This record gives sequence, structure tokens and C-alpha cells, in this order.
Amino acid sequence: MEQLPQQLVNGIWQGAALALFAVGYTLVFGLLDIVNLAHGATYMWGAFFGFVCVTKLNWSLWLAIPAAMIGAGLLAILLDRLAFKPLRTLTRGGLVLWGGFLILLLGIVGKWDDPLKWTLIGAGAIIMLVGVVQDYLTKVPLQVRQVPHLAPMIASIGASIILISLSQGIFGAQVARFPPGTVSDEPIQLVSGAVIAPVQLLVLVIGVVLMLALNFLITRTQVGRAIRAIAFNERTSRLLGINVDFVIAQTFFLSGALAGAAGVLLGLAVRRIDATMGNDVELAGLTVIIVGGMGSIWGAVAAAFLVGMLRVLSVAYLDSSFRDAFVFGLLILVLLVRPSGLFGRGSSTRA
Amino acid sequence: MTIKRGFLKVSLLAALVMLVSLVLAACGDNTATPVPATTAAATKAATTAAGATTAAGATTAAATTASGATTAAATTAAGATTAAAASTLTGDIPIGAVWSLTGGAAIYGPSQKNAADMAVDEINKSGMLGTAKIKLITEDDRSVKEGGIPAFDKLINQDKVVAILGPTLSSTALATNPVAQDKKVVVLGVSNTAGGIVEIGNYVFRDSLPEASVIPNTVKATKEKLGYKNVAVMYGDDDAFTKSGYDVFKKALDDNGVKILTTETFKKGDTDFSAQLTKIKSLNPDAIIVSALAEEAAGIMSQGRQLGIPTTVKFIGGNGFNSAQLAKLAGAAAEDAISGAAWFISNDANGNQNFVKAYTAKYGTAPDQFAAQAYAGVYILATAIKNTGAANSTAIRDSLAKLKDIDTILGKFSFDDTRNPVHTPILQIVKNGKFELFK
Amino acid sequence: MPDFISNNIATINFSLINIALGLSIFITLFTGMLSLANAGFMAIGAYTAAVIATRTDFPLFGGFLLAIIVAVVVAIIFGLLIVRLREIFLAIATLGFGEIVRIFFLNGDKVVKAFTGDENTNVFNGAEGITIKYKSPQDILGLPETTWPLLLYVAVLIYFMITLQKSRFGRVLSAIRLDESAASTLGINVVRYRLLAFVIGAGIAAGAGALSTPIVRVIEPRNYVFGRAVDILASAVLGGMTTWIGPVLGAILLTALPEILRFLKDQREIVNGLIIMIAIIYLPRGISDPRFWSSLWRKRKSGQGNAAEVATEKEKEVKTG
Repeated sequence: MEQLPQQLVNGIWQGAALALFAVGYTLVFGLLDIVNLAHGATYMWGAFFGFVCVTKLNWSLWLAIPAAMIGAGLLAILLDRLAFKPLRTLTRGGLVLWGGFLILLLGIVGKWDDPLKWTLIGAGAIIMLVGVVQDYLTKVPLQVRQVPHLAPMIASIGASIILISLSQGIFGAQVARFPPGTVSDEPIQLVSGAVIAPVQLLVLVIGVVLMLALNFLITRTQVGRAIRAIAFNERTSRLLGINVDFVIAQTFFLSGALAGAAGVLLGLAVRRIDATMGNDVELAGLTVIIVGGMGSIWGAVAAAFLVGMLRVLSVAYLDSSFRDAFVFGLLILVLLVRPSGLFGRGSSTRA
Repeated sequence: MTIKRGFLKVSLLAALVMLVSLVLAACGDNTATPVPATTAAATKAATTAAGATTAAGATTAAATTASGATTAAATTAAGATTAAAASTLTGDIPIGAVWSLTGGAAIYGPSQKNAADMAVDEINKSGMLGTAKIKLITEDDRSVKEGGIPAFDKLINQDKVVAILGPTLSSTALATNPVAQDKKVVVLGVSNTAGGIVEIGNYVFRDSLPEASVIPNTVKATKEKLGYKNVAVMYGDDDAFTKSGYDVFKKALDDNGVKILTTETFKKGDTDFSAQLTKIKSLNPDAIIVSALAEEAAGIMSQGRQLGIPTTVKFIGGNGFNSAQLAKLAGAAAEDAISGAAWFISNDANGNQNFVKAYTAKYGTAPDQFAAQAYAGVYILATAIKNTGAANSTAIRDSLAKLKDIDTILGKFSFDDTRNPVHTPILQIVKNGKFELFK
Repeated sequence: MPDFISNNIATINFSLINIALGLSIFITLFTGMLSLANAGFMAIGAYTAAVIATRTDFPLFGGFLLAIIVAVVVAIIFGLLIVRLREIFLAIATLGFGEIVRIFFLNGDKVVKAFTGDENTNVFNGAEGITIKYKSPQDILGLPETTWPLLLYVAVLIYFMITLQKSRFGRVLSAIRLDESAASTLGINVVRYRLLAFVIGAGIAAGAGALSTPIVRVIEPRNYVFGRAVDILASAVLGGMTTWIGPVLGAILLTALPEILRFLKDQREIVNGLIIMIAIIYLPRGISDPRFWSSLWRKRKSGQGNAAEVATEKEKEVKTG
């Protein structure tokens, strides 16, 4: 029993880490019914945005976290415009955006000499910007589409492959870490027999602040009301004059920003960031948002703590080899007993 | 009507993509385009040389015709006529390399590729093979067998390589090497440590010391020095390398009468080990044995120290620790970590320091054991080719099997009868973020 | 053997395996169920066949039959539990099942030890997996002997799919996909048919797993991770789910693409991802979408399609989505 206090702290910390990742995941899932398999890649890019800010630009961590959030948020919007939006409505601006994206990619990966490389990247970025603006101003789209509901998931797989290889190409496959001393390493004594690292405490605090802010945003603001309205019924919201497309973009931004914060904080806490770090949490994140109930933010948080605790306690008192089997066992059990998740709305028949 | 316009646009888009891939292809380095008849040139050179009545010519002829090398050929090849033998080699010698450049093992593949490319450049510049040049054809196996098997097929059937370096992962090697054995193409593994690799056949070699030749010595020496009785063990149970390392550790610990208090596992890519470490801490072991790769080991060490495992409890591991990444990622927590390894970065002998310097200058990071073994592998192969003076697989095989005590950056190097490497492993400890010999 | 085949035999073999897997998920998708358990059933099939191959003298065919039997039994037990779940919930439950299967093979020896008490148990050999002894394949009628069973298996499966789509059974499954409540008011036992589709899919995947053993040669848990389940799904969706041609085309494309793009070196993965994205945006119903191909055919026949024709097409597009 002497390890119990520490194990509880470990469980809470794991839960906080999972929650931070999963909340952004469940936001998009709840709104659009899309399993966005590129969420892990956004998270990874968020970590690298923060890493570049700290190591290359010598910014302080307090500046790097918001910067990474904005960077990852914009990346998520871009992801929506490139991978998901064309599957909802096709506009001329969307096609221009794609053209610009291809030029940008060409600039990034090609073995050009410097001036040409930067010209291509710059030109691509400008064309993409034009495309986004044109797309936003479009009143009559080229085509409104109804696609099979699995198509967006496949598009997100493609996007995830591109994002991961880009990161491997730019930052290399080697594992990197934030410079030592970014946050103090000296553990803090909580109660007798339980310690926590300052960076873990930081994750907990920022995590709670972000969740509260998100909760405020969703329940108390115009944007939040619009998001909930669209999640409830997209067609009615459109008739009521909500700019659905704009709200979707905002949701993707929120989702990406949360992923970015998670990327920096967790990368800092576990001292490693690399191109595949998103894949490793993807499955755990998916478990959490299902156990929590689709699209339910507090459900995801509660499920994250449940899963974190289960993982820790199964290692502590059972066998670490079967840790993940217990988690997936819980997953199946929850689905059988309460298919809509612990805190889900509606019934299991809802698609 | 609108749909048609959309159709047109999308078609344009598709056309653009084709364009992009074409341009990408054009700007990718040109090694991809097949250079025909290189092997033909090489063999032709060999046969013309055989026509001449030099001693070297005779060696070549013997080596090309007889697969079980005759003693006459053996003595001449290994003997004083090596310079003359090398002169019979002309043109490009196609050698394949299969690394995991993308996917799960992409942490290791690129440093192997860097080191191998560097070694080939050096060899071609130095004229070690006379006028002949090694043409290294590198393929990516995406870290999966489904990528490795076609890569071997391509190298053997289309590029007609005489030897293949790699693949990065043991499990891929177990699937790919039988093909090479079947087609009688030499494979030199430079990072395969699992069991059953060289057993595939007489064309399969490796220069990477298997864990079984390193770990028993590690356990014996550290137990003598540190005097531990009870240890905790941690290993990655979903990875063939770390799992086989654990098997060897367990046997060695049992043989030395060390008691294992608990065995904890983790999965590749795990970042949080606090639950396992808390449990280990509560059992008060004298030392912690870790079979993990550097990335996971670094996480284990830093979290272990953070949880308050005293620094008197040392972390002991195998080849997986042997990377500059360990100290870089774990910082002060890596201090005093002990590991048995096949290569020592601070070794002064045999041009090792030149290698470390050149590699660091060229690629911006210090080489790890993966890089060192790949670099040594190219030189071992080149030495074998130089000795036999022929660029065909059977001759290279026979020549490799006879290598004895050649100088490599790994130390004095030989192959034993089972085509496993023979050289002295070292025992090292991290002091001030650098590896030193453990005494 | 012609050069093209001998040079690409590995890609052909893997394509055939992936076609069979694509068809295994197709049958459940055809019934309106999204099952991600097929990587798990493939693992069950492959491990059964590998244990038989390394421990007994049975020919591959024996392992193949036993693999299907084992998978079917497991599928019935697990299917009874989860077959009532819908859509994404079914997907996640089956995904969890796949992971549990993989963890079982990873640590199965511990379980066996717990039952038998024999310390030297080494059936599954953990992460290192089971290595099948390699035998240089003989050519029979221009193809290696290891390719023939796969080719035969795929041919049988395609024949099965063709008859299925024409048969009453196929129409029942299709009806369940289109409108489940309507189907059940017509007196169709929806749960039973859903279970049947799930079990058939499991059996097909296990068969593919068993026949893949001589090709893959090392049967280890790493082969059957979450990513594999996603790949199987991706080939079915990318190819299209209206007819059996979809999974076949999708599997060939996704297997061959990385090999075709080998010449791109470092940029291969990026172009691979781009092609997947663009293909699905351009043809969200998959590259085998019959409507697309028939419209292309009509356009060529009548020169330029007139506006009225395109308009009706658009209506159809919205209605059936």
C-alpha cells in the first residue's frame, strides 16, 4: 500500500495529459461526426511550433505556448479547408487554395537553391491566402456535396501522412527535447510518499484553466451557442442565419489550439517530441472520447481521468503487460452497458 | 452545369498533381535512374582479367567459378597480391542498402544511411578499390516487412546488386534475408541482433554484436563491482530487440544468482513510466535493469530520478543505451547509467575519432552505434571485395567468411564460423553526459 | 516467368492479401456495419496457421481450414456481444477487440503458463513472433507456388461476392444497410443477418491471414496493429463500397502506390498522402464509383453532355448521399 499515494498522483497526471489531448479531438467529433485522424499530427506540429519558438527564436515558454496554440489552430483550419471542406462544399476559392498548397509543398520538399525555394513557398502561401479569402466570400458554391460519412476519415489519413512526413523532412526523425531548465526539474513534495514534478503541476494547472475557458466559451458565448446549434442540427442552424462554415472554422481553430497546447506541455513534461508522437496517443485519445461520450467535453475529461487511473492501477497491482488490454476491456464494457458513453447524449443509434 | 465546371477544375487539379510528382521526380537525386550494364561491365572486367596470366587474374577466375573457395585461391586472395587484385576491378559495383527511413524505426534508419553514404564516399575518393567505385543503391522499407520484401526483390532482380546492407530491423531481416540467400546474394546486417538471422544461410552475415555476446559480461562485471543482490527489471515487451535483450538479461541474472524483485513492461512509444517506476521504487531494488532503446530509456531514467529513486540505484542496460540521445534527452538523470555495448564513441583506435569528427561535421549530430556499425559494415564489405578482387556475390561471400582481425572502428574484427561478428564488447558508464569506460 | 511478374512478385502477393482483406471488410460495410476487427481476425488466422506449420506436418491447407474455424468461433462469441451496436460505436468496440487480440498474442505465453504451469512455454514467442521456415518457391505455370493459393482464394471470394450481390441473401444485407427499421418490419431478423455478415467477414480475414504466412514469413504482433485495421478500411473506402470491384481496386492501389513511388525517394510518403487525399476528394464514393465511370462513358458517346443530363445527375447525387 505504500505506493498508493504516488500512484494516485501518477493517475491524475496521466488523466490530465490524456484529457488535454482528447478535448480538442471530441470537439470536432461532436460537431461534424468526423473522426479526424490528423488530430495527432496537429498535436505533434503544435509541439514543434513551441519547440521552434523556444530554441530558434529564444522566446520564453509563456510566449511559446500561446504561439504554438495559434499556430496549431491555424493549421487545423487549413486542415479543414483542404481535407474536409471540399467534401462538404466545393468552391472556386477551395480549388485555388489547393493549387497554392501544391506550390507550397513543392517549394518545401524540392531540392532548390534558396531564392527559388522561398519564392515558391511565398507564392504558394499567397495563393493559399487568396484562396481562403475567395472561399470565404463565395456565395454560390460550385457544388454542394453529400459524401459517404467515412470519406472525411480517409482524407484525414492522407493529411496525417503528409503532415508527419513533412515534419520528418524538416525536423528530422530524431527525438528532440526542450532545452533543459525550461521548467525546473526539482520535484515538489505533496504528501508523504508522493511527489510531482513542477512541469506536471504546470500541465495540471494550465489544463484546468483551458478546460474552464473552453467551458465558458461553449456555454456562455455566441460562438459556443452557434457550435452547439450546429452540432444539434446543421440544417436548422443554417436556416436561422448562422454562418455554419465560419463556425466550423472556429471550432477547428479551437480544437487545433488545444492540441497545440497539449503538444507543447506534454512534450515538455515527457522530454521528448518527435514526428510520430501523435500516433502514440491517437488510440488512447479515441478510447477516451468514446468512453466519455461523443462530443461531450466533460465526458471526455472524466473518461480521461478514468482511463489514466485504470492504466496506473493496473500496472501497480496487476500486470503491466496487460495494461492496455484492461483499458480496451473497459472500453468494450462501457459500450455494451451504455453505448452512448458515460456522459453521451442521445442513443447509440445516432450516427 | 455547375457540376461540370467543378469537374473541369478538379481535373485541372489532378493534372497539376501529376506535374508535381513529375517535377519532384526530376529534382530528386539521380541515383534512382537505373544505370544499365554496370554489373555487366564489372563481370566483363573480371573475365578479361582472368584471361591475362597474372596471379590476380587466376584468383578472380577461381573465385568466380568455384563457390566453395579452393585453398589456392584463398591464399592468393588474402596474400600479398591484394593491390594487383584490386586493379582488376573497374566500373561501378552495385551494392544495395535497405534502411527504415520512414515509419516506426525512422529514428535509426537515417543515421545508418548517413554513415553508409559517408563511408562509400570515402572509399570511392580514396581509391581503395582502384578505379572501381561502389554504387550504393538505398531503398526505404517503411519499417515494415511489406516494404522490405519488395525492396529486396527490386535490388536483387532489377539492380542486380552483389551485396545488401541492412535491413534496419531484425524482424524485417528474418523475412527478407531468405530471398537473398535463395538468390545467392550476400546480406550484411549492421543492426540485426535477434536470434535466427545468420542461421538463415551461408550468405547472411552481420557485424552487429548480438545481445547474447554482450549482456552476460555486463551482468557479471557490474555485479562484481556494485555487488547488487536484488534488482528490478523493465523492458519493452512489444519490440523484438528489447524483448530478446530482456530474455538474455533474465538468464544472465539467474546464472549469477541475482534475485529479480519485479518485471515491468512498457510499449514502444510510451512516454509515461511513472506507474511502473513507483512500483519498483516501493520494492527498494539495488539496481534497475532496463532493456530499452535510448529514447524510452531516457524517459525511464528521468522519471525514475524525479520519483525519488536514489542515485545509488544504478540503471544498467544493453546496446540500446548506446546513443548520444540518452544523455541529451535524460540530462543529469542519465548520469552513472551503465551499459554493455559493441562500440565506444571515445575509442581512439582505428580511425574511430576521424569517423566521429567527420560524421559530426557533416550531419551536425554525434554518431550513434547504428551509424558506427553501418559505417564499419561498408568498410568490411569493401575490404572483402578488395581481397577477392571480384565483384560477384559468391566471391564476396567467400572473402567475407575469411576476414580475420581487420581494423574497423568497432575494433579488431572477424567473423566466426556462424558468420556472427567477433570483437570485444565494452562496458561503459555515463559521466558528465559522456560515455566513459566502466572500470 | 515474365519479367514484370518476377520483378514485382512481392507486390502482387501483398496486393492479393490486401484484396482478400478489403473484401472481408466489404461484406460488413455492405450490411451497413463498420467493423475494424479484421486486423485482429487476420492475426488469429495467421497465428493459427503459423503454429500448425511450425509444430505439425499438416500442409498449409490444413492450417488454413483450422484458422477459419477458430476465427469463426471467436467471431460468433464476440459478435453476439457487440452486434447490436451501431456505426462508430461498433467501430470502436471492434477496434478494442483487435487491440486485445494483439496484446494477447504479445503476452499469450504468460496466459498459457498460468494454465499449464510449464515455465518453458513458448508458443507465441512474444514480440519476436513465429518465424516460418523459408522454402524457395517453385514455379508452377508461370507463378510461384505461394501465389497460387492466394490467387485462388481471391478468385473464390470475388465469385462469392458476385453471386452474393445477385442473391436474396445479398439483397437482405443491402436492405439492412439502406433502412434497418424497414427491413425488420418486412420480417427480416436484422440481428441474425448482421451477425452472419460479421462472422463471414471474420472468416475471410482469417483465411487471408493464414495464406499470408508463407509470404510474410515472420508472424509477429506488430503486423496487426491499429494502423493495419485502418489500412484495410482505407482500401475499401478509397476503392468504393458499391460493388466488390471497389475493395479490389483500392487494395491494389494502396499496396502498389508506395512501390510505384519508390523513385521519389524522400518525397514518396508526401505524394502518397496527396494521392489518397485528392482521390477521395475527387471521388468521395471511391475510385470505382459506377456513376462516375458511366457518366464518363456517356459523355464520350454523346460528345458533350447537355445541361439537363447533368442536372438530373446532380439531383441523384444529393438524394443518394
